[in-house]
Amino acid sequence: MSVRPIHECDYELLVLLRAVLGAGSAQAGALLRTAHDTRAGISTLGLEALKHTLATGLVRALAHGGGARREAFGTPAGRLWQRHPPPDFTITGLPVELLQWALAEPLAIGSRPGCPLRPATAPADIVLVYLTARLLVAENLGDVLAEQVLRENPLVRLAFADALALARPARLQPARGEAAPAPSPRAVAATPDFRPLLREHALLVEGLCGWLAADILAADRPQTALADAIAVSDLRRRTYAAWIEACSESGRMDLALPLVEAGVAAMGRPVAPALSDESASARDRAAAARAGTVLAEVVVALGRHVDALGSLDFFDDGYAEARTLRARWAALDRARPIAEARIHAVAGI
Amino acid sequence: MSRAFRIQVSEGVQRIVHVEDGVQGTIDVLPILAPERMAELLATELEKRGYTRTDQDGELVLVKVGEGNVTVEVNVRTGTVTVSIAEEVQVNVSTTASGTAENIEDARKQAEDRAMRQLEAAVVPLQEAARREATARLEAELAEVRPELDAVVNAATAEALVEKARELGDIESIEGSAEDGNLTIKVRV
Repeated sequence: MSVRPIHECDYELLVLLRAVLGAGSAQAGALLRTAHDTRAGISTLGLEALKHTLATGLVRALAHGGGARREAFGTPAGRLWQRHPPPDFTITGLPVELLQWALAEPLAIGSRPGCPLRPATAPADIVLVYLTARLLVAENLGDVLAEQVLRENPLVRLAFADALALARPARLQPARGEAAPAPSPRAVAATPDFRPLLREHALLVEGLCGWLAADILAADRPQTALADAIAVSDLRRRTYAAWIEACSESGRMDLALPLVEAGVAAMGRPVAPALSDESASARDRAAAARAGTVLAEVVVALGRHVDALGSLDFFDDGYAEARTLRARWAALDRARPIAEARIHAVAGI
Repeated sequence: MSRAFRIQVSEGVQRIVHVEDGVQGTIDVLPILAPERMAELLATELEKRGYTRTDQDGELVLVKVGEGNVTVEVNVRTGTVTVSIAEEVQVNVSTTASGTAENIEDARKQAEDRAMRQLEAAVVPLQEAARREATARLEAELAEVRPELDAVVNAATAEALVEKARELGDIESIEGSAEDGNLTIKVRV
């Protein structure tokens, strides 16, 4: 095998891409926090390496993200590639352009040029943008999710409602002599519509259910300020309710699995203080505690769906699927009393 | 060469600051009897424990001011409980500040302005300390109020069950108590 050297900026792009695809890189954080000259574009050799990395990395990500699990999403149980024929996964230039934008300016600075990219529509692009968001959140660069290409990605909306609630869009640096602009308001995120994703790209949810559940669970953490706790809980509630509604309307309640797993896991760990500031007033801590029952409410809401499934008779349509789902979500039965108790506790004195 | 004057002033201020904190929640009462009757049973039990009946915008609210100046209010119709504390606290702050200018008056004004800003800034942590102390008293009272309200609800529930049993027939025996949380009522229908 011959080793062919590539250009330095191709190398930086490849390192970042590998970090996005979950191959891990200690350099990713430093790359995202410094400016790099990307004007030279990508060399032919670099493009070849990028294509190979994308093709293999995307498949690997879908396997590790949940596709390798033996699940029965309305089908006989099996791994993702056993349940479905190979999809048309055409990757456009968008994911790489997003990484080039991320490399061009230090992302940790609040003043930087905004990202001009539009939201992804191709399924492979949707996955890659979501994976990019995972890396940004892991590197404490959640403000970058305010960029349109990220904040309007449905997987990002589901997984990172907390980061989106707090994300502030970047402002350009003021010209010499001008006053610094006022701090940006938070990127207000309207309640998302998940129906197109579930209708056209349900396979992505199946392949990433494990990582989506982990991200939703990670969003269940205390905030330092009450205003942040309330903003985060508000967006999370609306987001998860929209997801459950979209699953119900599309006849794919099985795709609520990420919320099921996150909710069950949350009920299995001790209640954390909703506000990390222990010197906060009792009023603020009580308000934050009420804001901290989001996943408990999800467990109760999904439990009601399971109850409704139990009312189907053997001659009703969907009976077999309902039985499979009830068996798959058995952990909800154990989590539900805990969830109800937590909701009740914050409603009382 | 121009002369500069440096003036140092000492200022003190006595300020009254308002501190408050509070929490609100609900108590669950089983609808064994009609809502009005359940409310009356709750009110009776609260009165036995030192609460006073008040009318707040047409609502019957039982109120008690407990240890540490903490107020407990119970709306017996809705079951809403509010535990709050609100106080005026006197804080005293003093500071020294200096000002430098080409004339004495400007230097004095600069020093006084600086001193006032320092005084205002010094009040903030004192107000926050007073608020934390009030919060601590509120939480101490909450620790007393919670079991007290549990006992009130249990007692009102037990009384309601006895009344309901009387509606059904003749009571032969009553065993247990609200305090125990166990009540057995034998009714001849």
